[in-house]
Amino acid sequence: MPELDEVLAARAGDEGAFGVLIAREARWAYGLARVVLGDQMEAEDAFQESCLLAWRDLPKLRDPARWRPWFRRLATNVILEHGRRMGRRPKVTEIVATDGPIAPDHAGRVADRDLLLQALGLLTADERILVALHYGRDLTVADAAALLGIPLGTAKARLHRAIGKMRQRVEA
Amino acid sequence: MDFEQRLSAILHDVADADPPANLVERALGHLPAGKQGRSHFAPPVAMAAAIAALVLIAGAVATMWRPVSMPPAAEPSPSVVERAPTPAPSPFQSPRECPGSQIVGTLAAVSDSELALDPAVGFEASPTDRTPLVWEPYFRLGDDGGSVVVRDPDGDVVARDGDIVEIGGGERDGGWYACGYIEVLSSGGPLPAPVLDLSERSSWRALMTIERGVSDGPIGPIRRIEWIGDTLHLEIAARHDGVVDQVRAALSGATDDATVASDPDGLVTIEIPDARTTFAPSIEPRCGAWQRVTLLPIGDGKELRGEDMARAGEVLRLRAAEALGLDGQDIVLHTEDGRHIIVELPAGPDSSALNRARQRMQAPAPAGLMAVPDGVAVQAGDSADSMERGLVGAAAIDVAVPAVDIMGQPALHLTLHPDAAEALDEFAAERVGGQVALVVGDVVVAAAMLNAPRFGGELEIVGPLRVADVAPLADRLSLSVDSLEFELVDVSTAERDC
Repeated sequence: MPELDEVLAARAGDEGAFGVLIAREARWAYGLARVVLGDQMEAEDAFQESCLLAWRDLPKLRDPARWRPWFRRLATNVILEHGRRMGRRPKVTEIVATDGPIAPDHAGRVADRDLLLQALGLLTADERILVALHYGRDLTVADAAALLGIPLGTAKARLHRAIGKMRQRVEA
Repeated sequence: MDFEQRLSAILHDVADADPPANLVERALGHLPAGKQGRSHFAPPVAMAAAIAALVLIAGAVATMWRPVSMPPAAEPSPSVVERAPTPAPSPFQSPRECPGSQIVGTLAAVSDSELALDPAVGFEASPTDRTPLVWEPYFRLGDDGGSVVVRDPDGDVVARDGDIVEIGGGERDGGWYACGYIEVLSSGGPLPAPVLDLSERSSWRALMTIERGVSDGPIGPIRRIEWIGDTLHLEIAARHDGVVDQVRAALSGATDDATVASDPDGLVTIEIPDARTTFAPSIEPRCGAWQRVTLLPIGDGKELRGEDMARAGEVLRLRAAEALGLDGQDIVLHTEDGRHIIVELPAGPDSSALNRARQRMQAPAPAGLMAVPDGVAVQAGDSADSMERGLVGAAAIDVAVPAVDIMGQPALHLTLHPDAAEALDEFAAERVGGQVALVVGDVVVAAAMLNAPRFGGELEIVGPLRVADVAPLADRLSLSVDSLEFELVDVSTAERDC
């Protein structure tokens, strides 16, 4: 079924068609959430909430051809809001069993990745999502600004600041 | 590979990883029955669980929230129902799009029903300094006895012209979109004590300004302030070319490590790595009183010297900070003769707390894993008084090291002595899902849920941890069981009037 027909069907209440649509967007939205939220469970929550909102508001989508940018903007806003909430939430940790003694990783095999992700985690949610869209989802700054609904100048300045903070942290 | 290429590669690595196999099915499983367009629906299960957890620890969370007026969609609600993710109706913009920044200034009436924001403190406002305010429809403006006031939906006045306020929101269309909270920092008058003590993280909001320059125009107001690690980041509106030098001059003498730069957006960014710096409006030293405790470190019955003195210092810093509930950086250490360590404790805590800190510094404290009673939720920083019983003493933790979990995220790996492993497994078999606290002294340094009935002596504390959390946690555990003892030599009080 062409995507346009799937959107029309989903808009009319066809859950199957809606499932096909969101399955195509799952990798994009979940991946963005993983980067911005840094937590698998939070990312799943954000994706689920995006789907719920999309299902609820789909009848308001006037142009079915705009499904993809419409959903991505919705998901981006949901992820951003989750990120802001996480910043105000106490941490929940777990104790898990492991298979046996492990080689401790003081600074070795994941150091570079960890350092960068750690620096990313120090940014505000608004900065993180911009970094994620530009560097993790390859959007131009203009496209990322449009998706977030912020002026291009603001996005450029925010991204500049964010990268500066990360660079300083990583290179300290 | 340069920084941005590395960043892009790593973010692609994370973002492009396969999502969980049944992610879409689970999402579809939460769709409400019936057709779309319903105005309310239940939150996802995981979200509901998270909210329930938040409700459980509402008492602790409440202390993190300011007594402010805030639109309902942006504020934590006391019940699951009210937190359902339905955007509040707004003809203009959903509250979920409210940016998370804040601005400080003085509310100024520009008409009978309009307010703008003047620079906060110490500046004579000019029309070019004034920031227009665009209000979230949640707030309503009106007249109240000759003042222009901001009201919440209940009609209560939350701020009025002349008040110095902090407003959540973000820049928009050349003004400030006031869509977050409003907190009145000072009502109709100048802010008190214009000193910014950077070691007092909780007090900065009422005290932020840098002295106005004498020749080149005003610096400020401070537009954004946040901590990143131990570095304080300030952003100041730049209004002239000489502002960078002016800020450097203002900081000179208070800190030599500040980085000052201007960016194309017209903002000056100041980054101050020394959290004990005090400045503004004139350069001020730390004021008030503090207590000097002189101790002699003893290890295996002998005085410590050389490199061991550094370790002893860190042990002391840790013990003092835990006893007083302070950050380690708030404890000042120095040695004058290479034998004794002088610890400077802020005099703010009461005498009993200082006595406890002195005792705590002299000998190692009990530490280890403790059971949390059913129905009680604890988090790092809580007192260990309410703990049920000890499960694993620190001496039974053979290894505590930073590690990475299966997702590549930082974790703390513990290896237990066989006897302790058996004791933990007996407990876990009955209390899967229960909470266990990692305690040092009388303070919980980490609280985690048991997610397995058996551990076999190998376990990890995982969750939204960063290396910055885990490494100190491992250090704390290691240092807390350090057998170092200290002989109390002298206690004196010092004071500086400012």
